[in-house]
Amino acid sequence: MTSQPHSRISDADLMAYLDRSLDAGRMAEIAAALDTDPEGRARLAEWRQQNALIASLYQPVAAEPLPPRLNVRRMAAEGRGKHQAWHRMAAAAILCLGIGASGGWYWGHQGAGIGGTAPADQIVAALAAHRLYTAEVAHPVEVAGNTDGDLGTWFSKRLDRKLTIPNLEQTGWRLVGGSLLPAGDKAGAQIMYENAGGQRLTLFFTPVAPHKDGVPRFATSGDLGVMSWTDGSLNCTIVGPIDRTEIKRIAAEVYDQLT
Amino acid sequence: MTGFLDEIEACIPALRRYARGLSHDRDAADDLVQDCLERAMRKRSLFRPLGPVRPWLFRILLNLYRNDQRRVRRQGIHIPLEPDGNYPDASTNQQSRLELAGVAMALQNLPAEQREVLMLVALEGMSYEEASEILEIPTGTVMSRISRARQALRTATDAPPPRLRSVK
Repeated sequence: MTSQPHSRISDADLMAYLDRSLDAGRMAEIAAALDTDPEGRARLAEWRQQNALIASLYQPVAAEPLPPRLNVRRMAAEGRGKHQAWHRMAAAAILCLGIGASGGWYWGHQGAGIGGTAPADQIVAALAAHRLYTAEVAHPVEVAGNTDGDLGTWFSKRLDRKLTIPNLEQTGWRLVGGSLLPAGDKAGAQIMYENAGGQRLTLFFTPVAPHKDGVPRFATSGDLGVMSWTDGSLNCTIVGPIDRTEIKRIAAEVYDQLT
Repeated sequence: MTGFLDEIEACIPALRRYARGLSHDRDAADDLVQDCLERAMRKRSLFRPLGPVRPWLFRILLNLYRNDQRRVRRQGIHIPLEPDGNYPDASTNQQSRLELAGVAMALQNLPAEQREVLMLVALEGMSYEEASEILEIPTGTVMSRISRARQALRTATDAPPPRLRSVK
């Protein structure tokens, strides 16, 4: 291609050359072609000038001293404290749910004791919704769905939050659909999945006032595993007949797709 | 865990630079980086990335930036002109200060999707491949966005000096 010194180097090639996004052979070809192409050199020089201006605006930022609030070691130290607190809360949650399963609404009185947090209510609501709808054979969901269909739009509108329907096929769970359910005085979204063995898993999303993200909480109730966390202004609770390792794997997938 | 922290720490200067390039606002940019780091630190126990840390951090930062954008869009663009230290060298003469301010404004006027990719490549020195991985778009799209961004910058900086208004 370098044998035609007068052919104009395309913008795409020239730009990729500038941005070091060609393989070594192609880089050398363009470099050689540029030797006999003053117009190409001029275009290149203009882009280089743009890069230089961008660099003079922002390059120095990288050398600025780091403000203390960007110190990750401090964050790590603070995070550890939170993490331990969470473990205590999670232990309490497991205990209380155990009692709740065998003792009716005892949870209702104890709930406030566990920090009185909304996620506790959420876990209870998600569990109840899970038990109610996964048992349904004929109409387990209000709206059957696919991950890029109307389901996400519908929920986003009703919850007033951008809600992406997570695709969990990679983890072996196929989307069944979703239902709109009451969650306190607001609307909550339940999304149901099914695995090859016909077991069902639900995600329960409820809108919450925006606050700092919480650490995920894990709990069990009977043979169900529960994981709940708040991300931005959305609380997500996963309920399924699975153990902690599996639920963490799914939580990681959901979390990644939501953010 | 320490190794992981080291890896994150090594990326902070670049994250700050990139965030500043996205928003041209010191506080907003550092807010963004702080959110990004906090999120990364929270995620690390459960959601630690399998691959390299750098693209993962840039992806988190970009997601947060886009969320912010939705909020900010309604308020319009703010380009504090000076003196906010964004112009590197106090001795830089008036003409090039104006030129830089013009470029800064042109950059801020780009559609966010073009600015995101242009800054990854032109400022962070990433290849199209790396940028496409971070932005989760095909390399062809990376190229066309950069091309459009460069064209827009050219038009903007060729035009007569923009009428700058100082907001704040």
